[in-house]
Amino acid sequence: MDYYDLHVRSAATTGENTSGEMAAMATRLGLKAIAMPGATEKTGDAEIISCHMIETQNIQELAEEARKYRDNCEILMVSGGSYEINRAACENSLIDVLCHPGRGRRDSGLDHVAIKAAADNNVAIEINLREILESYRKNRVRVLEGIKRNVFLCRKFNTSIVITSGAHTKWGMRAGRELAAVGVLAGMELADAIDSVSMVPQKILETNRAKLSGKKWEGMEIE
Amino acid sequence: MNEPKTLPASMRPKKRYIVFDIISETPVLYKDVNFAAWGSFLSLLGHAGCADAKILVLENLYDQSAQRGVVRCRSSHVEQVRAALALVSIIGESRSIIKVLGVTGTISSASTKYDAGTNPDSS
Repeated sequence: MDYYDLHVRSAATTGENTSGEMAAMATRLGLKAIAMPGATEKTGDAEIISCHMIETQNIQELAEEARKYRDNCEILMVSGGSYEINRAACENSLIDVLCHPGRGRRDSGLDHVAIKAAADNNVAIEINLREILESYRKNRVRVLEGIKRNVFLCRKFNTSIVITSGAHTKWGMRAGRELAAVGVLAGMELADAIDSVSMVPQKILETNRAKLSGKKWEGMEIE
Repeated sequence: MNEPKTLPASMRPKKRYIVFDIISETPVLYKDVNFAAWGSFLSLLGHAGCADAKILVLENLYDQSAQRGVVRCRSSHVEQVRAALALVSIIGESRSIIKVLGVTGTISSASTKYDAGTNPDSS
């Protein structure tokens, strides 16, 4: 089975290691591909998916940036945190993944309305391992509480979930099966958790690659 | 008659052996692995959860040179133990990743399939 990690950071953005080092660690951990915003370096190791992370606090800017980058990258992600941005990302069908919706918050950052909108617009909600890994004691409980709430709502509305490491260094990365185990901890069924690090990212990637190559709808190709 | 009798096989809880590799900046000792793993088990599962999971980091199967070890737990708690191992980020003083190689039902299959504890130098 092929495992994907759709959110790691290299030195090109806020990370510590180069994209080559991150790709080498991904290979060692058995990952097929990783998505690193801003990474351009190509290596012989794990595949690097071209992606863009929208980091803004303005809904208008989010929509503009989504339109601008949609046709230039395979995965379009939004850095969440504020409820307005989370909701706008869920309601925008150009977005693929909403990352860390509960970052810097005491709640989960999403409600049933936003998650239902995400299901309608095929926006996947991210479970970020780094949020759990870098929090301790009471904070970790709060983070897990928020993630569990999002998982419960996603299961109710059939919204896609992707589990990522969110690693800023190569030591923050984990193997695909370990990421799935964290999903089980957050309340997912084992099969769903494994899908969220393999089938769900693969489907997003295949759909977007088909669109980028000019095939907008199944069975139809645009010259 | 000083010790209780061993439970019949059908009444014993089913066990699993999780074989793992350690990827770290510098080679790490068993005591550091044990300390880091138990820290993670206790913080994630709590005392009651650890008691349910019947966890044990096997010392005699830790391979110092290959940086490979085995954790025993109940079959119903494998995913929880896996998640706790995923949350170990520092062992001793070096940044580390614990990568699970596989889960087996017996110690002998852990040894044959994954070479766990086959190194004669391992302590």
